[in-house]
Amino acid sequence: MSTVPNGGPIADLSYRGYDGPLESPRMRWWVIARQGIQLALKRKGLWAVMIGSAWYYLVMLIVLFFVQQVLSANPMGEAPMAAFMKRLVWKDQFLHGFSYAQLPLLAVTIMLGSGAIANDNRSKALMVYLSKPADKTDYLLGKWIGIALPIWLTLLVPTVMFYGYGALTFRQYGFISDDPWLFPKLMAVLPLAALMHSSLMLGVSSLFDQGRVAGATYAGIYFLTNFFTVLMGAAWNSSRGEAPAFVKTLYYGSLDGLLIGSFKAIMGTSGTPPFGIQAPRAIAIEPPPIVLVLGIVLGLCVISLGLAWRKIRAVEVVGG
Amino acid sequence: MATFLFTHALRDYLRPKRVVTWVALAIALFAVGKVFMLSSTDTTPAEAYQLLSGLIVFRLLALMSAIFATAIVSQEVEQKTIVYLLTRPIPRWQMLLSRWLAAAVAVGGIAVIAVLANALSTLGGFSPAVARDLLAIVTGAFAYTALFLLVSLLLNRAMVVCLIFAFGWESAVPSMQGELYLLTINSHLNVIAERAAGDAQGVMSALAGTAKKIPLATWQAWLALAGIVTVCTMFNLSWFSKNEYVPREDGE
Amino acid sequence: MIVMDSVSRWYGQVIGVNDVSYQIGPGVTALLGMNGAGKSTLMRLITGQVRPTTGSITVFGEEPFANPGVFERVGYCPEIDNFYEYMSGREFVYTMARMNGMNDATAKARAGEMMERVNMGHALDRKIAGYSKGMRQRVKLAQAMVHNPDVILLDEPLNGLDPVGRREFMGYLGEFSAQGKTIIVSSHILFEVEQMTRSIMLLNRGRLLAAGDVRTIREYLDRYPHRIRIETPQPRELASRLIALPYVLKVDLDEWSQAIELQTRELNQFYEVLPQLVLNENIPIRGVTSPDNNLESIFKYLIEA
Repeated sequence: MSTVPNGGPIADLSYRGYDGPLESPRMRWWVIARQGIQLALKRKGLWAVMIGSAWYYLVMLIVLFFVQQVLSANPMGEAPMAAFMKRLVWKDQFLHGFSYAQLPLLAVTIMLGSGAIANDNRSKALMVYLSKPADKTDYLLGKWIGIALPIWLTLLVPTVMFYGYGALTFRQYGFISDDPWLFPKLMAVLPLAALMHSSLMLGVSSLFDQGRVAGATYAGIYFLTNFFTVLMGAAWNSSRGEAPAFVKTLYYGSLDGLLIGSFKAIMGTSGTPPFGIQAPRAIAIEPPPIVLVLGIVLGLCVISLGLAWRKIRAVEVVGG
Repeated sequence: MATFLFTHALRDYLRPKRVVTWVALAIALFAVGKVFMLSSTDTTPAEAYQLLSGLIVFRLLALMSAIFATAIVSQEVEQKTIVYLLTRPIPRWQMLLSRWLAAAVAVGGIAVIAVLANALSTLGGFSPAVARDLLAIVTGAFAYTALFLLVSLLLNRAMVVCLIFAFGWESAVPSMQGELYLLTINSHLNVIAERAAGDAQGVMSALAGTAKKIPLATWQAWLALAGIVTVCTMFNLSWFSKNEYVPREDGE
Repeated sequence: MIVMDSVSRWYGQVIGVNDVSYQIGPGVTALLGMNGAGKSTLMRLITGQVRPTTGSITVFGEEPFANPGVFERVGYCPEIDNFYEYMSGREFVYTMARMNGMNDATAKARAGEMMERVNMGHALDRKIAGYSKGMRQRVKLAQAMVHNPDVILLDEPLNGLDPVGRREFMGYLGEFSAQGKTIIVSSHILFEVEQMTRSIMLLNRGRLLAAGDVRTIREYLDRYPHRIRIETPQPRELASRLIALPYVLKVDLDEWSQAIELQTRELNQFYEVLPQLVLNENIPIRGVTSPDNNLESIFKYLIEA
């Protein structure tokens, strides 16, 4: 209840000068994250792209199902099935699932995050957010989780489902024994994609006041760096593996290259052809040094989030 | 009036804050070219120039076109400043034509820097191939911006469509069987640039749009691009003159 | 000058303006209505940004949509607070002047003049991004006036202006009106409108509820009881006398502030009888006011009817 000091007409307004600690609600960032996710998930297109990003696993499930049906009825017995399964490197199937999901993930990232800060910049909503008992950390964390969580789930759900299918069905073909640490490694590498995409997208989004331009810029960075790595791959292949060693590393010098490089480095694989097919293939490019690639990924994330942190200001910045 | 509208729009498009990234990217091409020359032991400078040109410079052109062309109207609508433009005593066609020309000039200008950076990096100087590329890139700036402007006038989510066109359609379709390449801008630009087909390897030449020999004469490519620019521009001017554009929130 | 004939405008399934017919001539006319009443849609129709779905609208005898001939004579100050933020106020007004067909020298001179006119002379070359809300309103007004238009449309022009700014603004309106210009001002704040003009267009949910002089409108509302407040030290005595009159419908007693508030259907008759009654009964009266003689009550009557 407010009081009127000395019986005068003006109420006690001294609370306005209060600068002590705030009794704040817990998980303020989650309010911001949930709002972003709920808004994004209303878009049917986003659902389509998220589901579409698992296409490799879906096709692989169909391939494995039919291979099982056809080869198990083979009069030659187990031998053809065993030969097919021997060709199939399980961890590489996850590598392909992860690699082929990168392009759809770009779309998911842009749909979720291009306007995350840019739209707030334009509508000056930052002042509204930060006028609540939420600070910059809550805002940035909320926005970051709002992008990272759906990306992580987009990767996690099909990966876990495929792993479950493999573990229950193909244990006798070395699904678990080939690499007992496969699951923990997968769990370690998947958040990396969410971490990188969401951090970079937030950094880019904070630079603009239009989601349209932020999204296009992120797509531009993705594709142009991608084409650069294609160039490096071609250079490595054309030299039949005799080009300077840094070319191999530069092959991973794109957004998806960094993630695929991290995946390869953590899994300890250079990759085999997809779907267990026997195909003549270009020289497999070894994974980059794990410390280097993880260092670059984390460094980019820190720089991007730092940029966003710098750009998030609770006041209307007066120029001129 | 048209001159003022053109310079007003050009000044907006070439604001330092706006072009600094693009100019930096164009110049970064110089470093990419050097790295590629160092790493690719059996690629000649001419091949390297062509590869970088097809793979990066012309993609950069398409990307810039998407951003600048959608800014011609969509940006004004999203920023709500369209109100100030459309309540002035200027025929709408004149307004759009001036702004489109300014966008094309801005895109072409920055892309020219990218071509020159590539030439300096890989060839170490000027050559007839560079001159042809300059011609193609300026033409491409007009063609892409005209087409993307059309998309932005018709669709709310124009940017997504333009990016898919720039990086998906323009990369994949020129290498497909049959005559689908006729529906791309990149194929025609490759003909104008007289880019040799199939020199580069697999994926790379496919991405550069040079995996297949395009059976078109240079004059046919010119004619096709002129047709694209004319048809798109006529449509854009007519559409913009007849339809309503009122402020709305960013839909992307 | 501005003729609306059965104008309706739909946005998909939402109606913005519903069957509005009216003519607006010189002087200040206020578009009055709650948020979403259709004021901005009507302004967009008059400024040719949108077309009517049905009906017709003409400005100086011409359809305004995308019509440069009309735009030459119309100045529009939109409600939005968006600008080319990288420009200075002077540059912005200059740009708008050029787009209105002025040459470089004239546009420069006119832009400076208009900025001075709206008291922005001290911030001519500062970036708009650094302007306060009130300064931005002034710049919007300057750009609307820069080509000396015959019709000026001002959408919620007093938003963000401080009391001094408001007073100045009212002054500009008076001047423009004296020059014979047609001025249309939209607002949802009745108090503001009352200070600007007595000519109103009252909109609600897209429909024109009333239009014309506010006093004339009030006269048409006689079927509604008029409220009269009388201040007296003997409210109870006065109330007992007044309730006996056949055309007094209701009397509320307010002993705390020594007043009564009554409702009557026969205003003129009541005012004839009141002095006589007061003299005969010797009941002192300190004041008589009619709360219904302001826009607020008209507005309330019409939208609640």
